[in-house]
Amino acid sequence: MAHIRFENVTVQYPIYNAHSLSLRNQLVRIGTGGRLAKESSNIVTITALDSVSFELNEGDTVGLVGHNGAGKTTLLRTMAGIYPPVVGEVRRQGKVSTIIELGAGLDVELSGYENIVRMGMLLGSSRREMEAAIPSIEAFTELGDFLSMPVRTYSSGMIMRLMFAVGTAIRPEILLIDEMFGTGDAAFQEKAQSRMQELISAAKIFVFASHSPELIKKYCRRVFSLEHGSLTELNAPVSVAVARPGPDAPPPAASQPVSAPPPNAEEKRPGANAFVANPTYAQDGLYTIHCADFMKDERFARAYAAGEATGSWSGAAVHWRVYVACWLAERASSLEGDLIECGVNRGGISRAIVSYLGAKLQGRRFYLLDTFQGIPVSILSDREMLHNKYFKENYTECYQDVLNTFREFPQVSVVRGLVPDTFGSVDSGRFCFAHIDMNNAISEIAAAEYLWPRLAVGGFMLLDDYAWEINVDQRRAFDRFAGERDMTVLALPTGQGLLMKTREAGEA
Amino acid sequence: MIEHFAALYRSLPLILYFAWGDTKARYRRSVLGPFWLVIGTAVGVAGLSFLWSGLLKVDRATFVPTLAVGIVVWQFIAGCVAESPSAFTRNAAIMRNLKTPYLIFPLQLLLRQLINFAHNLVVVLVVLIVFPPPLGAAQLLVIPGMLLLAGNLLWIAILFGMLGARFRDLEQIIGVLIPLLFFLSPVLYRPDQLGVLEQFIWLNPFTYMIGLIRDPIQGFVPAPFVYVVSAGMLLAGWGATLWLYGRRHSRIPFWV
Repeated sequence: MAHIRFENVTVQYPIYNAHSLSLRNQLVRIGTGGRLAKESSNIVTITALDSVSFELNEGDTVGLVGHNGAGKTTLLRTMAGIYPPVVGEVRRQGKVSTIIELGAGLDVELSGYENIVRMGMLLGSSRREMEAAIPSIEAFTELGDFLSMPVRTYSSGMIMRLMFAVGTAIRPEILLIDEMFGTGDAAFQEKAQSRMQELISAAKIFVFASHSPELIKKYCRRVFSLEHGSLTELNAPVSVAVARPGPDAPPPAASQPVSAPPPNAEEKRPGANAFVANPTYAQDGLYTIHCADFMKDERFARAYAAGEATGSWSGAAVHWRVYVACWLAERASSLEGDLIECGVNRGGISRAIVSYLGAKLQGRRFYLLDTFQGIPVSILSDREMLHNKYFKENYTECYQDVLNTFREFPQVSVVRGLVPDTFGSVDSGRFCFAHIDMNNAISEIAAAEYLWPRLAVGGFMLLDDYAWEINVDQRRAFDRFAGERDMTVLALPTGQGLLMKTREAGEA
Repeated sequence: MIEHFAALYRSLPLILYFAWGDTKARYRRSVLGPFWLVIGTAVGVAGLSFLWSGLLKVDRATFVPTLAVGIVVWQFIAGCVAESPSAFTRNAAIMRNLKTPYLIFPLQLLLRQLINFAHNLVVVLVVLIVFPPPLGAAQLLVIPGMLLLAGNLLWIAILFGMLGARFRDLEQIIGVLIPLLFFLSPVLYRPDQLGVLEQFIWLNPFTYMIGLIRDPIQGFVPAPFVYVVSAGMLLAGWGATLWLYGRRHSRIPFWV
């Protein structure tokens, strides 16, 4: 029964400079009564993992993403039991196999055969087991006579083949692989993939750090993102981002990010785990006791039901977000200009707005811009690629459905294509309300650049993705966009961001 | 701490395989393999015997065996001590990437040096055939002598291994001191040949280590205080090593 459990694990390690690595300098320091301490004891402590909690069970395949130096390799080493935590507890059950650094555990002077036994024994197998595994490793690596040659004659691709073959031949229950797994030619990748599938179907744990979204998407069901040592689970379904605790239920455990508020929130914000018994609203990442009377408003209920019927929200409850959009659209409808939505998907929010505004939409147009078939992969950043919406593959072809949804509303124009190219087909030069939800910073900024000068004073630009914890790229992009125009984005607790135009460019 | 030694015990086959693999790998590309080492020792013993017996005008029958055994034992001790500071650092790639019991590396070092030592015994054997010592029960004392010596060298390997991982210049410091210690230790001579200086030579721990092995081989029974001091070093050394290891072992993977 393979199992890994991290509870508030913090890993710190010292980085020694040449000075502090020197015994001579340490002795000088003691000898001079520490007067040279400032210069000599220049030890920097790095917090590589910061209160990380999660639980992995059999059958879990995890992709690890994050910038260089974000702590991916440290996390793998801590999972393997190589690095001990300073604080917290790591519980691990099952035979571990690690492929972290290319060539680690190999003796380059020994032959491939000898290294098979050597590395297998280092991973905890017996010599006999390894010798028995040699035929299957021979077949898997396809290295042929090279296995009788010293490993120093191997290319890095060949070393990878050998390491991967040994690492998986010992039938590990927990397999931890760092990013260099991408090396090797296409044939090896294919074999590696079928070996992985075998391993995964044998209900074991597989953790894999990579910068390649394709590989992660191929192998991993769960995705952990590391940033400065903090861990966030990415594709945790939005609808369970906050569990609604019943009166008797305990607050969600910190060790399970799936059912908990953003990990570490409890440690970092004192009192955040003090769940109140009777929230007025608890869904979609928002949990509050404040007034939510709009939930009882019949006009809003009708609008929400109409939006929900489009299937846009795939079962998630997003009332407050829809309420914000409807309220803003109604306020804006007293201004001059049309409405526009960039990033429509199945038209849930726009359908709700159309219903909510009713007659107030008369004499205006509502433009709906989308590819209606997803985002071209080429413009997504790595991080966006891993966004849950992309993962859940919500972006199925839906152009015809959207046309049908809005058939009875002549004010609505559905424009298909890639933003900003499609702005050419929008025959309006003035807008009062723009809703932007394209899950992608490049397109959203292009849309904002086009729309902002055409927005009426008093009009709104509503950003659906701005304040979601994982949408770092979009948030940074819009912070920059706003900064260039001497304003800031209002982050809403719903995860949305709001910009209001108060003056034309150039006005004081 | 106990689980560290239990893991070490479970890893014994691995350590044996590694020690042998190391020896094999180091001489992989030469025809005579590990016996280059023996030839080196033999040439050294022959040369030094010829030179020093000529210079000092001493009796070859006692001088040559003293020198041969002394050099072979010294190579074993000095090899262990000189490599100790890098016991962990030279295995950094393994320690940082595979979950392995830390203590296998010092033990592996000791075993590798023991394998070298066993090879060099060929030279000792040849010398003893040419200049036979009086055979008797004294020779049996080699066994407890080896155990005491190996026990002492193991804690040295662990302690210096940790210190050498934390303070990288320890390896250089020891590298500089070893040739000096060669002359300050009774390798080419016996302590009793020093006359009035003899009491100073017994301040050197290596004097005891060499005596534990060389005296029984040559047919002398070492003085009881040699055993008392060696056992004392063993206890004190392991005490200090276990104390430091218990406190700091979790930092080793970050040091290397």
